[in-house]
Amino acid sequence: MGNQVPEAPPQSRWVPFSWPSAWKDPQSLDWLTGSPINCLVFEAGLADSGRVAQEAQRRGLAIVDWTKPEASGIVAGEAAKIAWNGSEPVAAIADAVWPGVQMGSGQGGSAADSGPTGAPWINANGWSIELARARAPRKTIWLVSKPKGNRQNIVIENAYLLAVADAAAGGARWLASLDEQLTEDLAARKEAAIGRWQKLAAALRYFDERRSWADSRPRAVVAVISTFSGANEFMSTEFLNLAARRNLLCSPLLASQAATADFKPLRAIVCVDEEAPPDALRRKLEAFVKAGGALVAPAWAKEFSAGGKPLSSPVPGYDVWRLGSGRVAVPTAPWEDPYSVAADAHSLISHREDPFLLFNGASLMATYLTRNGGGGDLLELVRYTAESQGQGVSVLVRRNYSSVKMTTLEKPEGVDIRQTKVRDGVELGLPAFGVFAALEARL
Amino acid sequence: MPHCITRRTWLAGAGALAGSLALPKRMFSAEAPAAAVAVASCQTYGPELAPTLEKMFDQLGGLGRIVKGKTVAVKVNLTGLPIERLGFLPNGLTHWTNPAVIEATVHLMGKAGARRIRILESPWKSAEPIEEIMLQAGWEPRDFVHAAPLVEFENTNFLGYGKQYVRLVTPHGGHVFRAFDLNHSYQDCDVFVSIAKLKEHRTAGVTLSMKNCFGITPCTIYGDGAGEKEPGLLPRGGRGILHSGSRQPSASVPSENDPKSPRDAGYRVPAIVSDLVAARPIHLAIIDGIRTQTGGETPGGRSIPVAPGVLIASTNCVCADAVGMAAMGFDPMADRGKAPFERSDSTLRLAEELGVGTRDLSRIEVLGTPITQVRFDFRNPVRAPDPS
Repeated sequence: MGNQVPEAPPQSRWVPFSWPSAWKDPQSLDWLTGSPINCLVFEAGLADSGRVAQEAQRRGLAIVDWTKPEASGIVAGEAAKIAWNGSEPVAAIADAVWPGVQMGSGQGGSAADSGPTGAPWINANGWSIELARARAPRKTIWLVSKPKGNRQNIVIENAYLLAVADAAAGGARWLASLDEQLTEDLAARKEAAIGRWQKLAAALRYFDERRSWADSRPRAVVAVISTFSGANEFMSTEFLNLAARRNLLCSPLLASQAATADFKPLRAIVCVDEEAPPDALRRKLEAFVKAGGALVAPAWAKEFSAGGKPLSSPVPGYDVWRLGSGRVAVPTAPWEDPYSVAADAHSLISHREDPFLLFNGASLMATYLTRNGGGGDLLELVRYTAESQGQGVSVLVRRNYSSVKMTTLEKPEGVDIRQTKVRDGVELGLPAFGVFAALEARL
Repeated sequence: MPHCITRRTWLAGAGALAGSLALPKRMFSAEAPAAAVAVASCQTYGPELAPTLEKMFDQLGGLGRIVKGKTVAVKVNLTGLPIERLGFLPNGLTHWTNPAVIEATVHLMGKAGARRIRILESPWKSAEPIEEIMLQAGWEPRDFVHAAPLVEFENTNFLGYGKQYVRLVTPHGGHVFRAFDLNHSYQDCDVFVSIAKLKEHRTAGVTLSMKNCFGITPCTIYGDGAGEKEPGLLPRGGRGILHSGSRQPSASVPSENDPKSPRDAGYRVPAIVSDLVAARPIHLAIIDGIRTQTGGETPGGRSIPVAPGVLIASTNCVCADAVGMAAMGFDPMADRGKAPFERSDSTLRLAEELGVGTRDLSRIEVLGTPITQVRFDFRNPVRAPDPS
């Protein structure tokens, strides 16, 4: 009985780690003690793993040969090329970005790149995870992205925590991997490296202990309908990306599923594709608008103007009609710039529909969820500068809660947050936090 | 004793202005006008606010004589991003005109017979509707709509609802610009009102009713992302080129009088502001100093929240700002080298030179609460308690 090999966990529970190829000694597996890592990925295949894979199996860890991931129930590839309707329980997005504020080439690479608003350009994967979950709701999503050094080619402190949080906040898992320097320093048992490893392990543990969060439903009241493929891929995916950067909470809705989707929780729909949807969906969209919804859509939606009353557009370059109790907004010229489309849509829908407002959070991106089973919401904040900066962050949520607790990677036990009643909700002033904060709100 | 600024006396005193980097090409030789300034102690944005403002307007001769039957353009101060705060404090308690002051003023204007009221601002780098900017800050723009019979909003950072920009000429040639191309709203009005916040400014020393008007310039023309030949369609940057003079505005509008003049922001910003308020005269200046912040125009640096508890109003913006400076503990006759103008020229002096109004307190009648009773030392401030 004492020699019985523990059973490896199911794929949905895997906490994966890309095993450094330089670590050939099975004793290196001791690094995993106390961490939730339970799945080792050997990128060059098992033949290259030495005796590590064998010892790992003996310890009850799952083993993945990355040269043939399908053998382990994983479909891996670029998001646009993955066969999402396959039976594999895990989909690994191989073209995930390394999360963080993009550093520019100017000023010695020390200045953050910025978008048209001057806000820092953030590389994040949340939108990609959302789209993956829309395409394959039952699959566990992994993000594959390698540590990327800054201008000194040193991965900044906390960057690993950000990679963990960026994936986990969307309900996915980062395929954890180490940069060469950290791999070497750990092998040499350098104190700073051990500290970083321990922080990474603690972050993985934090999210693993809260894996039920992944079953929560988005509180988004805006849906984006598209095929998200072919000629529509660029505009639709960039829209999702840029909407997320504005904290315009929206859920991707595949055109093929839209006709049967429930529009009741929605206040607005953005149809991104230039071609008109099938008749059944058009009729459904019309009914949605007449019942009070807002529709932002390309020229084909002009057909809804019949019987509608023209309104003054709050945004230049759009024709707007009232139809029933709702509104339709159509651009007067074809959309070209996804940034403008996201900004225009946000104004056309109105910030009045934003479920929350975030202050002093230019480097933060938020996920707002309703916990499975009801009873409360979850607001997750990921800081892409990876460190606390400047003024304190506060949030206005348009909902009343009986209590709000904030947990962070630094303080997983959490602290109660005082709620200040304001006109249409409550404001929450948050204590300083690093890469990640979760507000667990009870109704 | 009346203070008469003539070319001769100004030149005689030029030595005292040695720190000033450039002289205007033309001087206004007549005495700058003076007007009464109403001052009131007001500690909160609660029920006391509207009656206090009404009394102040009555002290100035009544709002009716200014706005009755008129289209009124109201430039408010919503500087920076709506999501930027000083700590956890709402913007209206620190660096934005408080919404209660705007709402009360709009209400009183409606009551006084204003035909149409247009709330204007050019939000930083944005073409979003003003209502959307307000919503992002947690404001409710419907409050303003319901405060008077006909209230509208316009983002003046670009062409907006206009068909073309309007050209407003600076009297006496201006210090930097002899004319500006602006959103139509600044011409399509009978009355122009500036509702500002009582604040220091990192570049211009102070930002009061005049500096508030720096934001009437559309970034499509005067912004970093402005079109080279023609105005851009949408604002793509801040007003860095007005600060630094790194380039000229779009070629379709009047360029600087002297492109070789100093590129120092401490000269340029005050000079351009004085040109603007000369080109687009302010009929009513209101300064919200009930709660504000020290240390600059936006959160950051050494700013702290403060509660001077004062409101200031006048039909002359230079006079209003002179009293505002005095209420902040500064000498309105100060110029470059003396607080708060350690790094800049005085906008008040430059506007005075253009004949906009006097900054000489001895010529300004103060109505209501004496300045001494509302003076709050911005350089030795007491932090305001958190709002309950």
